[in-house]
Order: sequence, then structure tokens, then C-alpha cells
Amino acid sequence: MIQDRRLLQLSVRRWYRARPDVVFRALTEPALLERWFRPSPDVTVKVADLDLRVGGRYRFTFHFPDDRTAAVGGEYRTIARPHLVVFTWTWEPPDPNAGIDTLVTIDLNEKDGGTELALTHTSFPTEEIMRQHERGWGAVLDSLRQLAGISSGEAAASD
Amino acid sequence: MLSLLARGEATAGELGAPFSISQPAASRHIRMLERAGLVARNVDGRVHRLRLVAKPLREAESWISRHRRFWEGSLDSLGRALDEITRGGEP
Repeated sequence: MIQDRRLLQLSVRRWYRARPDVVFRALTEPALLERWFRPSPDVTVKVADLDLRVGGRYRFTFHFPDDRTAAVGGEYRTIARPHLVVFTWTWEPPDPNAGIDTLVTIDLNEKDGGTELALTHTSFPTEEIMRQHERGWGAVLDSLRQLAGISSGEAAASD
Repeated sequence: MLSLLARGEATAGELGAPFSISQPAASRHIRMLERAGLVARNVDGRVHRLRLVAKPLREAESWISRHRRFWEGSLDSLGRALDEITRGGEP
């Protein structure tokens, strides 16, 4: 069911010198998360909540240098220490993607004496897009994914 | 087809031409794109011109690029933190 509803997906891979169990802790322990979990060094993050068990919830708040704040929350779906953690990911208002449920999967595998991390983030459709999906959206997913790479300029020009 | 339309309006014939599919198959594909809300049709006499409806694509592109930046930045930051943690002998 979830597979059928999958709309957009991105993957990011990294290799770290640390062992998988250390990387897993950095991904799941509040004190460690607060040391790194931000897109750039001038952003600060607070772990408001983190209940690391299947069905347990987490919530992170971000504070940006322009004084803007953002919050994201979700639920742990799969926890297989130290190799896999899967959780839902939903931005809170007023974020432009607020309320859209997405899924993050992080795989950790021992490689070359360190850890290869493979992150996959999958977005599920909004209600509007679900309606379009019912009318044949599924068959055009590949074109859409391929086209998501076109520049906004090109897309805007043909709007 | 969507890539062609991203460059501007086109007729159904122009859209189907580069692909080795029959005209009826091309028409079926175009109708499917219209139903999906990705393509709109302007009828001018006998000429049907098709154009891309950019909003869903722009939203898709914006979602992907935004989250890619977020994760790439964060996972680079994780690398720096892991180096510190490992050097400090903790955990």
C-alpha cells in the first residue's frame, strides 16, 4: 500500500570512519543528536522529545540564523540496532511542507573498517495529488521523478 | 513527452514524433498525462496544443531539492561530529 502511494524519493549516501554502533547512537541519542543534527553550523537544534521504540515519537526544533524556527516530528517504525532505523517525518506549520507525511529510512552497514550510511527519504502525496493519482498518476511517476530535475525556470516558462 | 513540453507548447503530433510508438499509443499517453493533471490542452479550431502544467512539477522539484540540501548538510555535519566523538574516546 505504502509502496503504491510513493511519490518522490531522494537518497543520500555517506561513509564514516566510525563503527555502525557509534553512528547508530549518534542518530538516536538526544545529547549526541543535538551536537550535529542541522543542515549547517549556524542552525541550532533541540531534541524536544525522543522515545526510541517502535511506535515511539520524536520531535526536533530548529532555530535558523534569521531567527526563523521550524519543527519536525514523527514516529519510529523500525529499530534494528545498529543497522537500521525507519521513522516518519512530518514538518509542523508554518512550514511549506507541513502536514505531509514522509518516511525516512537509514541503513548502516560496516564497510572498509567504518560505516556506510544510506538514507532514503520518501514523500507521500498530498490529498490533491492522491486524487490525481487515482486518475492515472501512478503511470507517470517515472516521468515526474525524471523531470523533478528540470530547472524552475524552464517549468515556469511553460506554465 | 514531459521533457519536450518543458521547452514549450507542442501539438500531439510533435509530441509523439520522437518516440517509436503509434499515434494512438501517443494519444493514450497524452490523455493519461492530462488526467494526471500534468498536461493541459488548448483547442484552436482543429489544432490541439498541449502545455505542461508546471505546479505539481515545481512542487516536486522544490520538495526534492529542499530535503536533499537538508540531509546532505546534516550528514556532513554528522561526519564532523563523529570525528570529534571518536577522537575524544567517547562514547
